[in-house]
Formats: sequence, C-alpha cells, structure tokens
Amino acid sequence: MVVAFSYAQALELVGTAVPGHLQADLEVPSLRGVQAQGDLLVFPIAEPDDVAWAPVPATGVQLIRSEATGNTHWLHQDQGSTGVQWAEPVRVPVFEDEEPDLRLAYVRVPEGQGGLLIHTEEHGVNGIGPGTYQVNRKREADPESVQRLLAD
Amino acid sequence: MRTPDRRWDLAPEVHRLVGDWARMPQPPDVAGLEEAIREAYRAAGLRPGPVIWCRTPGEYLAVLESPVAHARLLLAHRHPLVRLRRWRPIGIGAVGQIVVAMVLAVVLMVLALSTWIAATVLSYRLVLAVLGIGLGQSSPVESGVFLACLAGWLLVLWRALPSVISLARRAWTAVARRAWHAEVPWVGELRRPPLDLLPWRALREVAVALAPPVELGSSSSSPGQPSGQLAGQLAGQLAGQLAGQLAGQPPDHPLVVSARWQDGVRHVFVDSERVPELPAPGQVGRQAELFAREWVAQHLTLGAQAVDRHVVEQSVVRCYAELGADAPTLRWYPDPARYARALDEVRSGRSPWWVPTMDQQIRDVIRRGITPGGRPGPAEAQLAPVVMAADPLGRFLTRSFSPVATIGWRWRHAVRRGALAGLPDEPADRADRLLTALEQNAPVPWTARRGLAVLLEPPPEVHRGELVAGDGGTRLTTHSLAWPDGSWWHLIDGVRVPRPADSGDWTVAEIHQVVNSEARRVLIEVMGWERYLAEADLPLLAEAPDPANPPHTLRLFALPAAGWQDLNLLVMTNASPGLDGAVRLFAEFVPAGFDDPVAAVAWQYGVPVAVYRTLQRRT
Repeated sequence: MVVAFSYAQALELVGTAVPGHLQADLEVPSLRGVQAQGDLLVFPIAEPDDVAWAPVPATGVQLIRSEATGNTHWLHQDQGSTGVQWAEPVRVPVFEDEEPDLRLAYVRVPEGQGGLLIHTEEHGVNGIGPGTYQVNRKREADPESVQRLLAD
Repeated sequence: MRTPDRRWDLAPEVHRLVGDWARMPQPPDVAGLEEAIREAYRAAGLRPGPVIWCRTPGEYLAVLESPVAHARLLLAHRHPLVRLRRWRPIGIGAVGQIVVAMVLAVVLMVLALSTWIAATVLSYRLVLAVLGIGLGQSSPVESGVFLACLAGWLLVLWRALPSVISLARRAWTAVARRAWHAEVPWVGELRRPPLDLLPWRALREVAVALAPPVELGSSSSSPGQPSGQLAGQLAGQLAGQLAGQLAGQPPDHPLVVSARWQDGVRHVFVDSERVPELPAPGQVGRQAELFAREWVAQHLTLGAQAVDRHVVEQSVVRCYAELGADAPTLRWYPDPARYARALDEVRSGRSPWWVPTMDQQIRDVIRRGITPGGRPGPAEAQLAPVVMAADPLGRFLTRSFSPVATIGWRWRHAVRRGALAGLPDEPADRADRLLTALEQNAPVPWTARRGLAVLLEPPPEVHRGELVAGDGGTRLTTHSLAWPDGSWWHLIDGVRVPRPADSGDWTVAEIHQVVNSEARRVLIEVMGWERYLAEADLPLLAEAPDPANPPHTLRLFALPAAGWQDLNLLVMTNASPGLDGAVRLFAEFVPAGFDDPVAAVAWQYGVPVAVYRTLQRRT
C-alpha cells in the first residue's frame, strides 16, 4: 500500500503553496466514489471501449486550465503510484443543436495505488482510489441560448 | 417533468441541409443515402432496420420531437416494436359490415359442415385434437396432432393478441416511449460523411430521414447548377432583387433556394436560412457589440500596444498568400460604427465582396470533398477554415474567455470532418499558424473575406480596466474606449454596459432594463449574486440539501423579472472557502423545467441524478 501524499505534498507537485486558509498537513482521502472538484466531476464507470490509455507522467497531466484565472486542474500520481493511467475521450462531431460532450478524461487507478486531482487554487486536492473513472466538466445554460462549458 | 436535455432545435439543421441539396450537382440519390444509412448501422455493429422517409420537414421534426408522432410513424411503417400488423382497424362502413358478417356466416357454415363430415368419416377425437382440445385422444397419432395443433393455435394467439392490446392508444405510446428512450445512445454516433447531407436520425431499430423535396430550385450560379425548375422564377422574384444589388458579384453570391415538399408547401431559403422574404440588412448594433467583445478580449491577452498599420497590412497579406489566395483589398475604418456598417454591408450582400457565412463555406468545402468529381482545389479547401478562424467572434470564443465554446467546437469538428472526408489536415495547422502570427503582429479587429480584409483602427484613447478578484471569479473592471466620432464604449469583461461599473451603485431595476442578456449577467456579477438575490426577491422554486456539502442547500429560482423565461437560477454555496477564507454563494443558469435542484446540478455535469446523489466529497 502506498503512503498517500498530504495536501501540502500534493500541491508541491504542481508548484503551488498551500493557501493560507487551508490546513497543510491534512491527509487527502482517497475515494472510490463520486467526487466533485469545482467544475469537474469524477465518477466511477465500467471500462470504456476504444480509448487509448497512457500512463500519467510524474509531472502530471493538465486536464483543464481556466483562461480567466489561470487556475488549472491537474491529474497526478499519488506517491509511488506509477500505474495510474488516463485517456482522452474519442470525440465525435458535436454541433450547436446537439448535446455538448462534457467528457474531459478517463482515469484508471490499479489496486493499491492512487491518483490525485489537484486544483491550483481553492479547490485543493481530491484523492482517487483504485477503479476506472470518467471526468466530466460542468456546463451552464447560457442567456444567449448557447450552452457554456465552465472552467474554474 | 420535462427533461431539458431533450430540447433539440432541429429546424436549423434541416434548413442548412436543404441549402446544401440545392448546391449539389445532382438531386440527392435517395437509394444511395438509404444504403449509406444501412452502412452506418453496420459500421456501428448494429443490424440496420428500415429507413422511414418523412415527407415534409414538419413531419420529420414532429417525429423526432414527440413520442406520439414517433409512435404513429412506427405504426404506419409496421415497425416490429408495434405489433399492430394484421389487425389494424379498417373503416368499412355499414355495407361493409353486412358483407363481412355474411362472409363470416358462410365460413362458419363451411366449418361446421366439414367438422360434421370429419367426425363422421374420421373420429371426433381427431377433430378435437385439430381444434387443440386435449380430450380423450388415445393413439399416438391423435396425441401428436393435438400437440402440433395446440402449438399452432398458441402461435396464432401470440401473433394476434399483442395486436389487439396495441389498439389501445396508451399501449402504443408506452411502446413508443421505450423506443424513444432507447434511441438516446445512438444519436450522433452513426454520423458518417455522406450522411451529413441528409437530415436524419438513427434510432435503435429504425432510421428516420427527411425525403428530399419533390421540387428544388436555386438561383445559384456556382459550379453544379441544379436543374430545378424554379431557378428562373426565383431569379425574377427574389434573387433578382439581390442580383441588382450585387452588380459584378463574385461567384459566391447568396444562394436563394425554393423547395416544394410532398405536401405541396413551399419553403424559401437564402443561404440556408429559411426566410419569409428577402433578408433585411443586418443589425449594425449587433455587429458592433460583437466587435467590442472581441477587441477587449484581445487587449486582455495582449495588452494595449501601438499598432503599426504597415506591419498589420503585411501580416494580413502574407496570410492570404500563404494560403494560396489572392491578395485582399485592405480597408481601415476609424470607429466601430463605420466598421460595423462595413461588415454589415459585406455580410448582407450590399457589397461586392459578399461571401457566404463561414459555416456555409466549410460545409461547401466538405461537401465538395465528398461529392464525386467535386474535390476542392487547394485554395478553396484551405481558405474556408481560415476565414472561420479569423472571424472575430470565433476567435474571441476560441481564444479568450471560453476556450472550447460552441464555435470553437464547430471549427475543430469541421476540420476533423474535412479530414474524415479525405481532405488534408494542413488547413488546421495553417489556420493555427495564421492566427498565432496575426495575434502577434496584428492586434486589431479584422475580418477576412475573399478579396477583402476589413480592419478597425484602435481607439486613440483607452482607459484600461484592471483584473480584480470578485464574486464569480476574476474579472476586469470597466474598460473605456473613446473613438474619433466622439462615442465612448464602456465594457466589463468585454461586454458593453451602459455606464462604467464604478459610476455609482447599480440597482436591480436598472440591471433588468439592460437589453443585452450578457450585459445583464455581467452587471449582476459586478453587483454580487448575494446582493442581487437579496434585492431582486426572485421566486424560489425548490430547495434541497447539497450532496456532500452540508449544511448548505441548493436553491432554484425563477427569473421572470430579469427577462429569462427559459432559464432558472441555481444558487449554490462553494464547498471550498475562497482565498480570503470566506465561503461564497455562486449562481449559475440552468434550463427551466427542473423541479429538483439536485437534478439541475446533475444536468450540469451530464450525469444521471442518481449518480450525483452518491457524491462523496466536494471541494
């Protein structure tokens, strides 16, 4: 069993100090269920078809970056979890009158390991336990009648 | 509850595709399209079902939007889901009923007679066995006949009974609902390039498609002149007026199409937009608004800098050259009003440089790419996506606040579809390079057209706003621009507002009077959602505990006072404190129609509400 990173250690992975108002030595709970981190939702799914899995590098994967604030949601390995994989969804054309594709990524965490979803600002760190997950982003109905995708 | 996800606006798709049909060298080949649909099913590993051709756009839209119409169509086409195949009620009238009764009487008499003969000549037990009645059969032959006949009678009943049951309207709408829900996973997955020319939807066991109009006329003079009978009439009635305005028009002038459907109704389209009559000149105000957002978005990322007109012009010309297009005429405009008017003229056909919309151009390129014998030349293939990317709104959306907003998708997917159709990938790369070069060298709003580039000179006086952290994230304070014609523009986050944000407090009534809904939203955010909610006194629709975020709740408000009938406001409490340690409310729009705030959040993330209810942790 790997020793999970603390919040402070996890944030160091993305070169961010712990915001002053949050507790640095808090252990990040590693969960197998549904978790939300700001505008992202991680939820367990059955193994997806037709995706090309790639290892999550030690330097992490930038899942999405907010253009407005520069804040980023990163996917990282937990301590010693070199088996964590991720995949980009295969996209099909989506037009204005169709449902937007909210999928951002798939994540696969082997037994005994852990993944980390890290936000560079207030949303902190979420620990992802063993399993296969989908990461969706959030949308909002738009007053201009176009659905908007959100990135905090 | 109505599920907001299902609200499709299909009409634009139909209109676009009808416009495309009119541009095709030959009318669409229905048999070929039907085979392409079957091929798409097979490619997706599905057994192709029947293709149902709708006669009119109205029928097509109704079938896809209403389960009842859907069921009726399945019924009419003897779909296996609806077992009403043999026992359809027929209106036979009084005489018919007498005839049927007489025929039945004769049949019964023949049956009775033959039974009596059989019982006399053979044995009554065998007759019973044939009727499926298991009484007194003694020999193995009689038992075998009994079992075989019983099975036969059961089969007949099995075929007939569901038909009788299906006569009830309630039963077949239930069946239709099942089909309707089963359809969800397949929408969009079966698209294949040739079928992009056809309004159709793949359902699980049946495909619904719109049959081409019986008569298609077009005023186009572009390659592939259709053979529609109406071209001449239209040239006189509609296109003629445009043609007068377009003296010396380039090949890409507005396409006026008339389609007559099987029910005799005629629709007129101008450049794939359905019109009751000729389009009015565009709205100057709207163009100017778009411009303003784009301009400020650029300044947010680039910072105000002196613009060297010569460098800009060189960059623009080089981009055209790189793409194999002729050098454009360059036109500079000193203020947004004149710039917007020029754009309007270009777009509404009053300028000799009028070309179809970017979307239409891309569709043209793709269509030529997949139409036999109509492969695009390199210049055509490459220019269209670039024009799309160089559109101010497109660039604004793709590069600024909303990186993967709709237009960005359309652009990328159009390129991808081009790649699917066998076009080279270079247009995307080139367009990217072009954009990068332009953003570095030409930080001015400009619009590319074939043979013309319209550019706006930056305002001589700019009061830049600053980025500040506030409610709803980081935002720009008022950015004010002064133009040579004496006008001032005040913008917050690239959206034009009536007055600077710091020129006194805004009131709820004042915000509600702002016409532009984007501006209303920005002003509410400036005011702060908490204050807005406190002062606006919005009607609360529902409240529910926020999963994994106790003790907070999710609240759903109606927004009639703000002028948003189709939207509700979902008010949440941030699970993570902000940098200042404060826990903030935030509010987002959701479609009207939810009665459970948790279902609205699930809609936002695109998951079933049951999944969202199991949320374990929210940060």
